[in-house]
Amino acid sequence: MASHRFGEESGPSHHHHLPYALPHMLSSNFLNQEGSSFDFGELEQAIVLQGVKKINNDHDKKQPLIYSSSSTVRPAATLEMFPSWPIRFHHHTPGSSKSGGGGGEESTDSGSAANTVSTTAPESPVSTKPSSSDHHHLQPPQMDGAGGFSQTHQTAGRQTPEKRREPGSDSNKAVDAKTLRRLAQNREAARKSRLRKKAYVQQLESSRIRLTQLEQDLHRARSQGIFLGGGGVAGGSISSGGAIFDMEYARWLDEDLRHMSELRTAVQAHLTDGDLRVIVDAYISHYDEIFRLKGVAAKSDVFHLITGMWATPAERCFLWMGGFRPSDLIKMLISQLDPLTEQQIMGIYGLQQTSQQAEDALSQGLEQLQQSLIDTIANGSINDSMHHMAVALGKLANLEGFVRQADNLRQQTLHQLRRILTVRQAARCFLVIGEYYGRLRALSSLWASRPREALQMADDNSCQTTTDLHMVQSSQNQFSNF
Amino acid sequence: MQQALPFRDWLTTAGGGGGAGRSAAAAAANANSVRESTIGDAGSARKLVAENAVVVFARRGCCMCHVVKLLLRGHGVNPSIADVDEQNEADLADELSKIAGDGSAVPQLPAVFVGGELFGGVEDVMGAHISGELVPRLREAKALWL
Repeated sequence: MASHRFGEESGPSHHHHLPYALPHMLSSNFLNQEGSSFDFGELEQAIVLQGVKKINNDHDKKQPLIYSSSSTVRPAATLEMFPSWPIRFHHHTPGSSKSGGGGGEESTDSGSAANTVSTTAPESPVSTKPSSSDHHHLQPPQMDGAGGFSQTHQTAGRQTPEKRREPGSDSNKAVDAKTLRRLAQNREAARKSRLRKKAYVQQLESSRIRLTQLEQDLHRARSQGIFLGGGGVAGGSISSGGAIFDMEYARWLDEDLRHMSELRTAVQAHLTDGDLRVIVDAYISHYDEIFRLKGVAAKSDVFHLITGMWATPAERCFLWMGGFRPSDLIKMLISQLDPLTEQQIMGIYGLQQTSQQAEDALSQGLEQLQQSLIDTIANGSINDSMHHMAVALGKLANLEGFVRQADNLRQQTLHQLRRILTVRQAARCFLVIGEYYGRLRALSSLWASRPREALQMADDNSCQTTTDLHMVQSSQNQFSNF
Repeated sequence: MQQALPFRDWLTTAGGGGGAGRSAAAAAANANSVRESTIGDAGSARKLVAENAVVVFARRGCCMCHVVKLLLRGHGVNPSIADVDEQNEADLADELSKIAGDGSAVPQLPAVFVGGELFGGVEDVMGAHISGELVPRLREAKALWL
């Protein structure tokens, strides 16, 4: 019954049921201190003190109490938790011992009161107020009424506390000091664990808030990246540098369309060379801009550029070092750019040759880098893995240089083209270039949305076909056999 | 292969400057060998630049240096490659900027010197290569004879 009561009610309600037995300050102090958590340290101390005091009362009824150490301590009504332990009725005169008398009367009163009420919250004897001694002087007259009730419990109470205390005690004084220390330690430990728990909970709360903020940011960045990156973006796995570049590249493509229409109207309108030159130079600057942006992107995410994730799949197919191959562009232009003067033809072929040489040099350099990287990664030992990783990272950093040089080559090629050609030729040349890449991008989307029934066409194992589409289909059919 | 070729003799007698002639001849004769040296101190850098038509200062095993080498060799030039150790790099960079001229920026490696003057880095060499300015410069420095 005691335990049932204990579990049922909490401290604050205990207040009301102890009108006079315990100083309200005592209980409220304790409750404010400890919150609603149950403190065994306090309870234990209270029980022990009460029991010790009782033993002492038993043995040294007529003698003055010797507790100097416990003189300031008042046992609490915690013993009401175990109403089967009767409260001891002591015969002390008020003068014999302050603590004993006060404690005893308090306990009897509280015992009588508590027998009818809950016994949940332990009342701390620690913060016993000296004013409790005032109370106990008032209590005797009131006790009479309750005294009878409590008297029935006395005798039984006499024994039980004794039994409880005797096994562990040789001398009352020694026991008291030891137990006091132990109780104090328990109190300290309990307080520390409470503080730790509070700190932990606070940490959890702040982490939770931070997590929700991060999720919001991620969601926002992702939605921006995916929306603006178009078809070339793998959902969610873009770095911020890559996402930023994709955004800027999309904007550049829109600009490109504008430049193209301007060039088209300019060529058809037969503008003067001066006006045409302005438009052509603007288009060159437009290309300079994308190379500058790529340079910036190479610093933050070179892999994004070099794998061509920013470009359409068809463009990616012809990708060389993060962009178009200049010699291929020149080859394409040669057929489109006539009529050209002899000198211009020489110039264009020369440009094709020099760009080819530069491309080869860069490709070989990249190959050397790749080989060196392979060696580093392959030869890393278990013990030295961090060092090898650092070396590999250093080598990877050179990739940025290669992409930069490749873009530089593209830029130089376009500038040289501009120098070789007249203004009008240059205008038409850039129209051709713009048109070419527009078709390549359109091819990408067409391929992505091609009808799938083409895959189920009759098995065609012939490799004599000349169209690429057929070859693709036959190879696909061969694979489907597996 | 590396020994006497009539070509070499012709070059030395043509007398295009002792050092330059020698290095160009060596370049023409030793198509497959590379004249490499390691920079011990900054002083030797000055000497290298003064004595050779084309010098490339680069970190050992640098891939960009390989690119520059290939570009230059594509023209028939065999540059003198100077390997730079990491510890010497800072000093060498200062020395190179002094050779290039007071007030010029510290050159990035790989750094190319043509005819005793700082030509630039990979970007500059490539740009000149595309625009066609590289060959005249090489001829001027007597690194090319054709």
